[in-house]
Amino acid sequence: MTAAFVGSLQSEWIKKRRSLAGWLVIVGALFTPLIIVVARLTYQDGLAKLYTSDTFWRDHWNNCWESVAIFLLPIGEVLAASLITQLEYKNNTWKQLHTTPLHFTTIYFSKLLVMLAMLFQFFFLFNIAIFISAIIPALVIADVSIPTAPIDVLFYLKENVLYFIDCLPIIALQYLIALNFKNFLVPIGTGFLMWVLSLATLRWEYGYLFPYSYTIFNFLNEAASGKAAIPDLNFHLLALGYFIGFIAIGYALYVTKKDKG
Amino acid sequence: MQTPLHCVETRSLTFGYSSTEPVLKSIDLKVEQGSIYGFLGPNGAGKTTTLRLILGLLKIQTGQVSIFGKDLAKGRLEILRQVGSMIESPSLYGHLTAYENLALLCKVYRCSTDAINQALELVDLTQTKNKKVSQFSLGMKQRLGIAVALLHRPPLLILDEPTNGLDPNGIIEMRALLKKLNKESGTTIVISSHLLAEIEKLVSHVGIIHQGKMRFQGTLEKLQLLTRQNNDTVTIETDNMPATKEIVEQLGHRCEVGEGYVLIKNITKANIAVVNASLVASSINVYGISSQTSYLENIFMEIINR
Repeated sequence: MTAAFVGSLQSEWIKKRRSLAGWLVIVGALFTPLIIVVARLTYQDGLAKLYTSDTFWRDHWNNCWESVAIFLLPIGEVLAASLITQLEYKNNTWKQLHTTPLHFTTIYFSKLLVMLAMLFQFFFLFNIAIFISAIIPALVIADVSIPTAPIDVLFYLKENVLYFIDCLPIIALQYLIALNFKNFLVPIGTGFLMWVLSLATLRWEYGYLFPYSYTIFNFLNEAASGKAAIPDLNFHLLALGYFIGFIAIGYALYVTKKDKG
Repeated sequence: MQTPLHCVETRSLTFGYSSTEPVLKSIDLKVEQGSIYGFLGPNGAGKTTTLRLILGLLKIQTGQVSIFGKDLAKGRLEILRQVGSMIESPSLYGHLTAYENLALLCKVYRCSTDAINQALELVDLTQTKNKKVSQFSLGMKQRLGIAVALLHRPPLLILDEPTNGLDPNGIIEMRALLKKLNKESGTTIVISSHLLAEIEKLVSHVGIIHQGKMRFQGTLEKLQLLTRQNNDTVTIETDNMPATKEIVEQLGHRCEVGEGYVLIKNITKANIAVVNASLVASSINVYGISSQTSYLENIFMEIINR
């Protein structure tokens, strides 16, 4: 079982080569830091002061996460999870995959693990890009010095873990939907609608019930409290609960599917 | 006499996509080990549904499927390890190269990378192994689909209309490849087609399905014997078709006028001579008398039209 799972995982990893989902991870991770670099090189007023600030890294971190937590990450996940799953429909390969000597459980969880690995890849690249985007203006502009403010590594690690957890329900629900609908527009449309609903209900006291809102909550909780009705309960745990629930439902629907290709 | 060992066997396989008319009605398919089994039937007869049930792609509603003597419901993985398949169009990832398409399956079957090169060589795709599959022609995709099925050198190959999209040369090459695999490696091959003429030079056994029912099953010799029993259909080419038809009918034979010929059914060899003599005596020039060239095709049509 273990060897079969590793083989299946390697096989799934090969499938994402040169795929749109694979490119999306790289482009998504580099996009905001690149924009920040361009903006700072274009508008240099006040940069020298910003780079000597004691809170430089925290401010830079929030700048980078703002568009990512609210827009790029939820939408990117909707697209990536749907695209990875739809590879089989698009290429008409479910029938081949289901005639390989693999348990359906192995297939289901190896696909999921590849998506989680891609999410991890995004976080890894994004963190590196955040750091590099902070350094580049200091190297290019003469009167801007390398920031000397301390980097609270533990804080950023914790934030990464929390954002990662907050992403999980989106991946699980998109995976569930994409597995059950051949039409690519269904998972993409549902994902986009869920994201819009999450944005629209940010100030509603029950807005936390929408599973696509947790990265937004995490960002606003840290950087701009008051802009959303942050729930008193631990929404990260709620995200984990949704993730487990969606994965279980998705698995049950997948293994009991009568037509497997 | 020893009972032949059945590599694939279905018992009373009945299946329907909806609660109305079933698509398959009690199919008892028996594929002997080491044979090349031609599974024939017109489009929509139930060939693909049967093969999908055999491969576990559809949930069995009624009946049983056993492969290598094992029940599919109980030993799915063990069975699939020994089966290579291509159902309908080839299943390939367009954004990957031919090599990568095989490499990802290599991880699943845990076979060596040599197997990839051997499979590519078998289907003559070595030169294009680093080309993206989306840039392949239909024939190349079909050949790569065969390579996918052959990658782990399975003792049983199930191919659903594998010659679709192949040019005549490609069909001949595929036939030769399958024959070679069967002869040298003892691979049992189940190959479906809607054209008997296309596979009659390849198969040792034939199963004919029509409207979800098995109409014939046996060796090719058995089918040919059946053909010979009915091999009394001839075509006559003359310079006067209406007069020819009239004379033939006067002699008590049923006939049909085709384009440039008269087709006579159920006629003995002695009567052919009588018809010929009568035509000549009536000053009709006879250009040719021949038994139909694709006689197996006719018996196929007769079987499915019964």
